[in-house]
Amino acid sequence: MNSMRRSRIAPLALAALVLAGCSGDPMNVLPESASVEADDIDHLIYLIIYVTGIVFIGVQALFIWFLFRHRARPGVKAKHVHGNHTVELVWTIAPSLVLVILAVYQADLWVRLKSATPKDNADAVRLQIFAKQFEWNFRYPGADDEYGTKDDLVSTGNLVIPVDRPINAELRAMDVIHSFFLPNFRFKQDAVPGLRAPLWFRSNKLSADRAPVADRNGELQQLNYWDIVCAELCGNSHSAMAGRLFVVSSEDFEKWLAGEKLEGIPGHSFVGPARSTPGKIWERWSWQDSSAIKGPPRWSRNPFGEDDLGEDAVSDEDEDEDF
Amino acid sequence: MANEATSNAASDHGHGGGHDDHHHEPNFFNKYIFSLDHKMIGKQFLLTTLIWLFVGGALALIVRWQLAYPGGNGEPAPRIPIIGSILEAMYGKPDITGDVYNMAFTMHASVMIFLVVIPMLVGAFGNFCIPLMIGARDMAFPFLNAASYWIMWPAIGLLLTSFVIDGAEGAPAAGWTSYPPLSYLAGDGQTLWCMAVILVGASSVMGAANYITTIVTMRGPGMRFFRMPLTVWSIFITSILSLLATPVLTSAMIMLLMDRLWGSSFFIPAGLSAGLDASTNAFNYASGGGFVVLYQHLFWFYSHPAVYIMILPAMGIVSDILSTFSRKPIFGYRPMVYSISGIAGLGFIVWGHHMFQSGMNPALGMTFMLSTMMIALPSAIKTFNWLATLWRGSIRFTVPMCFALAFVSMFVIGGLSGIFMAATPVDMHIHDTYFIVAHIHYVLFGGSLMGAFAGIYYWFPKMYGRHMNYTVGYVHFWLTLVAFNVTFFMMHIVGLGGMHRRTQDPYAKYVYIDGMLPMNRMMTWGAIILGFSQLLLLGNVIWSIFKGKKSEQNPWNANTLEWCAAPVGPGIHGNFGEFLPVTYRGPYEYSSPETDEDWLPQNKDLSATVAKSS
Ligand code: HEM
Ligand SMILES: [Cu+2]
Ligand SMILES: [Cu+2]
Repeated sequence: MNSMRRSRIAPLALAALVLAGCSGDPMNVLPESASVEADDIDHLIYLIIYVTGIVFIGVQALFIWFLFRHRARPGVKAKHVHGNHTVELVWTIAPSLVLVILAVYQADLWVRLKSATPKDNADAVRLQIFAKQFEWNFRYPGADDEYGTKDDLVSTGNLVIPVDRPINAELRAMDVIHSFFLPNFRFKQDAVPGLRAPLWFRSNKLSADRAPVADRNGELQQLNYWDIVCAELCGNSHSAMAGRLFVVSSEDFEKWLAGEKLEGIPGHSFVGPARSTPGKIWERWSWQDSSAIKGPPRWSRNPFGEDDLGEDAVSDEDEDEDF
Repeated sequence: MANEATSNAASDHGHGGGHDDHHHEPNFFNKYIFSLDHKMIGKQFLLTTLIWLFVGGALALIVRWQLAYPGGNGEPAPRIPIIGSILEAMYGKPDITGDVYNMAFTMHASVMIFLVVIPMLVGAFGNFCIPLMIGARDMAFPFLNAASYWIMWPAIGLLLTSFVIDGAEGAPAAGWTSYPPLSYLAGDGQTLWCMAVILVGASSVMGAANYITTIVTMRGPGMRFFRMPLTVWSIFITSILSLLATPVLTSAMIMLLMDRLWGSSFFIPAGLSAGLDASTNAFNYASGGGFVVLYQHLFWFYSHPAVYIMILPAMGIVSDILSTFSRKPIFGYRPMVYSISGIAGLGFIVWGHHMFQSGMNPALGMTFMLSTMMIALPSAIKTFNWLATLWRGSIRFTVPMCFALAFVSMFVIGGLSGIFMAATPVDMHIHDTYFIVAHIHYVLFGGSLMGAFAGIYYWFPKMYGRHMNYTVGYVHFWLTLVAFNVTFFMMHIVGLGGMHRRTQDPYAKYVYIDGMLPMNRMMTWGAIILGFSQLLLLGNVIWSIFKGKKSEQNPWNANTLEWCAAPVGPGIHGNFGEFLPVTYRGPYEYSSPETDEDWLPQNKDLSATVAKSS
């Protein structure tokens, strides 16, 4: 009777554990997820929490048990033993298997996260992200799909994107290193001066639907944006280098591009390179727009196979170098 | 006394002279200040690093105070007690501004790494223990040894100057990693910082060359490699690591200095906007041609091995202490040696795990991910061997043992958190968050420092011929263990929650981090208690040097030569009497069936006693 109950509970508990790993954030420590990729990363985080948790509990329990059981007692001499080949082998091979399995298991996700472009990105939104002390600037190419032309759209501090469509961005830094961190997307990429870092992400949740967030007094605040964080030390106002990411419906996004005012969402600040309101900064951007560089960037030797963005995305020289 | 005379004569052979103090009593100056005796140099390292521990700690409390009491909601930030006055004296106001905050964590880490953990574990214990434990009269190069200590002082002077050279804006504030271009654009303090790091590196290299030579050439009779205590093994392999890795750091620092001072642009790309030039109101365009990420490769090529430089000696110390107080041979002596070597070897091919999100090609990230996963393996093997050492031991909970046990338990947490960061997709989320800060502190405080504390309590009787006060020791232990965990465990949670590191006031801009303020307050109070608890250690050390209970020759009934062969107390120049001790066996023959006692010194000749009694 007893043993039967136990035998039924064990697999149930295991299944619960695995299920918990698959569904969100049972321990409630992670920020609310806003993308499929974030869910996948959460799944991996929980898998590792369980694996390391089991090791942790096992090791610490044994440890404390030994301390208690084998404390010095009068008349009891310690066992004189120098080691044991078999157990050494076991505890070398077992953890290495676990580690290799973990390594292989997560490799796939890494490839997906860091490929220059996602596989299914026919309707991808292209944009450029410029990080400078201490603000984020975003530039959309406009209808002609080219940067540095009159119909470019620029927005400072606020990034507006459509839901469910991949974003293909190129990330640059103007002065020092910054890092483009989206906690709700589990996404991070350093912005490095001299480097055009390709990145992509995709939201599956409108930012207006964000769950309320508790502040220091425990009061819930309803926000309509996801946070953009600068995660790399970039100077004395590093902690103030925040941005807002508004995820809107595709229709709203088109309206926003067209300059319509949307409820609760800041408009883009100006259009075209000619009107250089922030002055010097804009000059710097144009300067970085070397006409030789066309199309989205890619890791110098795209390790993960073909771009799916289309022919024109890849310049001819790049094509030659591609393996 | 007779001992002393003969040993001084004998020391002629031990180390080829180069100084003449063995003909007469050394004067105060030669004995305590410019001593060439490895024991004195070890103690100099120890006391210096203990004092810097408090400077580093105070800097950390600036960081913690700011994170607990940032003001906001219309209220001003409350003034930080005591340290506020120092800040006021240095910078004219007591506020923890962005500049002060960045200076604080930058200097905290730099001090702790370069002036505390490395010189304490390698400088203090390496110096003190190696010749005594291998049965040598001194280091191979006593003068070089003294130089490796004294070159720390110009470094210390430079770091101290860097705090104030240009006010709060001029102090080094680019993180202990000092990535350009931030460190390229930083004030003059950064220049001094780079020079200090070069000097500290020189000290490491001098020490390493000396240790390697000493261990290879000066082991006493019978002291085969595989009879050396693990403390010596670990410092031996650590020295190989420092010798190979430190020059790379030095090169990176020199290149950074040249970029800063002479515009060499090793790391600076074209078109960098180095702020507005006041006179022309135009951007300073850097000539360019350099690559920012190159610095990170060079830096981590050193600094990943360096994290093992900071933990391997502690692992060795802890292995010796666990075995001694379990009255049991270390389990798997050879596997222990092999795993130390494995860590050292793998340690050279994992540096990229600090750069997964840095703009390094992600394909390269995959190989670093795999090697990083594998480097957790030797650490796991070591942990299992420590556990097995405790198994069926006869465990004595002395103060050094308590700290050694804390090392094992805390290191497990730090090692396991490493696996999260090794998984590249997970690292994408937790990189540059408090999760990393938690990891660092579990391995470096929970690991390295706990191991160093264990070593201090353990070897103190050998160093000064006196015991420390163990009641105070136990209080120190429990306060440290509990406050440490209160401070650092929750950092895993806020890190996973997306609180990024190196931020002076993240609450102002991010509501989700604002919600973590209560947790941060608790960590800060943990840190304050943790910091003040260490005064118990410092006070205990200073008090015990003069007033501690006199120690017997071998207070722990340990097997190794420093206890069994060297004369009582603080020891003599030349370490051993007329004859060098002969080693007959490995260092861990506790509870051996060959004798009735539960210990069997390395230098005890059993065949002689058997012959006598029969
Ligand atoms: C068990 C094996 C270990 C693994 C798998 C591991 C893995 C890692 C990884 C992947 C990072 C980079 C995280 C990031 O920045 O995103 C890291 C950071 C770090 N680790 Fe470990 N680690 C291990 C053991 C240790 C040990 C033993 C030490 C020191 C004694 C150590 C000290 C550090 C330090 C100081 C950093 C952070 C440096 C910084 O960014 O300021 N780690 N570790
Ligand atoms: Cu930034
Ligand atoms: Cu590392």
